Amino acid sequence: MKKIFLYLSTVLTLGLTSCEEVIEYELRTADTKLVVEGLITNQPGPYQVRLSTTKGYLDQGRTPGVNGALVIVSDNRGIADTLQQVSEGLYQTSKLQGQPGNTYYLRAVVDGKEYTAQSFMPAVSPIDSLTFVYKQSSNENDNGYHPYLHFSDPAGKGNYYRWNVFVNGKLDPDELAIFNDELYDGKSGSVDMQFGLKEGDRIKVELYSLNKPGYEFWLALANQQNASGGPFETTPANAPSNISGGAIGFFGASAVSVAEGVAK
Amino acid sequence: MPGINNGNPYPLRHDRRHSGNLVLSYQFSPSINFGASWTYATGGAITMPVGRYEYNGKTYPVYSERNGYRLPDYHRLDLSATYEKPKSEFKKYSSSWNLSLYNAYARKNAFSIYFRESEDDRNKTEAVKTYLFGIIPALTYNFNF
Repeated sequence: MKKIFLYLSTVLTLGLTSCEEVIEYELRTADTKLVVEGLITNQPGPYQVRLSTTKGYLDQGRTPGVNGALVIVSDNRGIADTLQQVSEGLYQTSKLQGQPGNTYYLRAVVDGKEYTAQSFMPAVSPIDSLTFVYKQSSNENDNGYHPYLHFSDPAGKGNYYRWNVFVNGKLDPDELAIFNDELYDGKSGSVDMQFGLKEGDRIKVELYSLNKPGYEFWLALANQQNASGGPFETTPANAPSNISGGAIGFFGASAVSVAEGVAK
Repeated sequence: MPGINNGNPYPLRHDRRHSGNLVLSYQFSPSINFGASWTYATGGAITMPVGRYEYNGKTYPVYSERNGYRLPDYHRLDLSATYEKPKSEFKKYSSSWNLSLYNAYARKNAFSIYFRESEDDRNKTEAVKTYLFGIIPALTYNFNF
């Protein structure tokens, strides 16, 4: 009799535990869409616009570039630049020079369909300095020299930022961070970039200014990076594009401030 | 709701398009009773990735319409057998034993589905479902007075 209870309680415990199983699940592949990745900065040109298309989620391989498109970028001062294709899906400006305070317009014609976008370039405050503090972190991968970014936010709310991090000359797309000045308006201070470097690592940080639509787009990308698709997470959403005509992606204009340092 | 799913209507996570219950009860003898109950419901609505694209050196998903996909159909069979002790004239109470099986054919009803990189082949993405309850037997003793 005792054994029966033991057996029953074992079965009950097993039965109450949730399990995972690999299954076949058929996904419709959505209609292929044009993807626009374009950025005008205040750094010396040329600037690039990349056109590609989406792929099925479970399909293998890289997404294909779009060739032979007409791509024109112009600004609110009347300068128009027809971009030259330099490699698969990649188009480059020849005379445009980005400047904070200007608005930039994109016009792309792909297979007779027209796509347009516009973006205002906000100014960015220059990075004062980059310092390092050795830290132990709860996540072992983040142990090491944490870079701290020192800069001042200009007075007035509505400043949006993102950064790109290059470690030893290579872009690290996982260290994408998006933030605003909602809490720090007008202050100067430092931000822990929250990842660890080894001693002697060279790091380059690019701080980009964003307008509000840009902030929302990048924030959605950052959230998608952090989502794992578990059962208790919020419903995922697509990043809001600023391209009209049914394309996805973003055409942005950002002022950039750059700082470099060696972890020690 | 404006601002969600481009303002288009969308089904709720726990939306059940079709659902039904089938209950059978059989009095085998005055003291023994068998019961079966089968439950069926359309799977809940979920949002799935339908494409992917590259941006800033990384791959990002393109999602379907909000809750545009369905989990697999939900169904399960519950069985029970009850033995009721014949009432004796001298005693003022009655009692019964009940043995039941929840989810008798141990269907792994999906609670959620997510995608991950296959462990065998890093280039492959596989769908993984989470399910909650397998078969659960239960023995009950009822006592009335």
